[in-house]
Amino acid sequence: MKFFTEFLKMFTYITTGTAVAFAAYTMIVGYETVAVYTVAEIPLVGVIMSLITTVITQREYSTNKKIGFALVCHYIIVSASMVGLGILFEWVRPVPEEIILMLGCVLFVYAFSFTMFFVSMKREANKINAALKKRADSKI
Amino acid sequence: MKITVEKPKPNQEEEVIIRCRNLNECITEIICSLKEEECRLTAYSDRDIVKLSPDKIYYFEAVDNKVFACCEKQVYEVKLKLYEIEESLFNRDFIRISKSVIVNLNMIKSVSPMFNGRFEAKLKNEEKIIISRQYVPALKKVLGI
Repeated sequence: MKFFTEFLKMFTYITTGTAVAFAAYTMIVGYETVAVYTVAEIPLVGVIMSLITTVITQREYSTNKKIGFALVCHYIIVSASMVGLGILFEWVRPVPEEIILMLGCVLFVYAFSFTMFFVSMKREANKINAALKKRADSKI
Repeated sequence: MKITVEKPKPNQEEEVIIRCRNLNECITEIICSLKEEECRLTAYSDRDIVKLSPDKIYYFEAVDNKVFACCEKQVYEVKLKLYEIEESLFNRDFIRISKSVIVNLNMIKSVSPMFNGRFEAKLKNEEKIIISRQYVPALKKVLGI
């Protein structure tokens, strides 16, 4: 059950991220039209990458170093999947420029969403620390 | 001060009654000590059996069906389940922060985020423990956030 709820959560994030990366990519490449079946392909990519992500995040990592390593591995797997599936669905032509561009788009979305997530966590931690301090001061 | 010790009747439970005109320092101390005694936990180490005051415990951790009370440097086994500790120390600064850990809020030095969505609590003895994401709302509620 936990796996399934985690999978659904990841699916929401990743499908949104894939759609954003795809939109950025098509804008940069300058495609004027997008095939209608892309609407089905994006959630399909979302399902595949959410499965990979859920499996990776199931493991407990005790230090930020190990988590950082897992994140790098995850980024490599996500990028490879995105390029592979992009070629399969003909979003990307198998030429170096387009592959590099797609990798850049994935990196941008990845870095942006991770930064936003971490900043919100940091803000939450600061609030908890302030409340802990206030609590300790009131006990003196 | 007159001190009377009575033996209760067979069906009566043990009781301490303090009859005083004012709650002075001495009487408050007696009450505190009685309350403290009531909350003390029996803990076991390799050699000794000790009575632990909750104030000295940093956190409780369940490992392989055993529950351990971790103090500043020593670790003792407690013959209670984690949920029983949670119930008995309710309102005494202890809160569940993951499936297997109950922490003493007074022993948390700081909290910092981890890359995987969890928080890490640094304790006053420099030990670090993980706060699971699902227990953060309860922690925030206790802290009034």
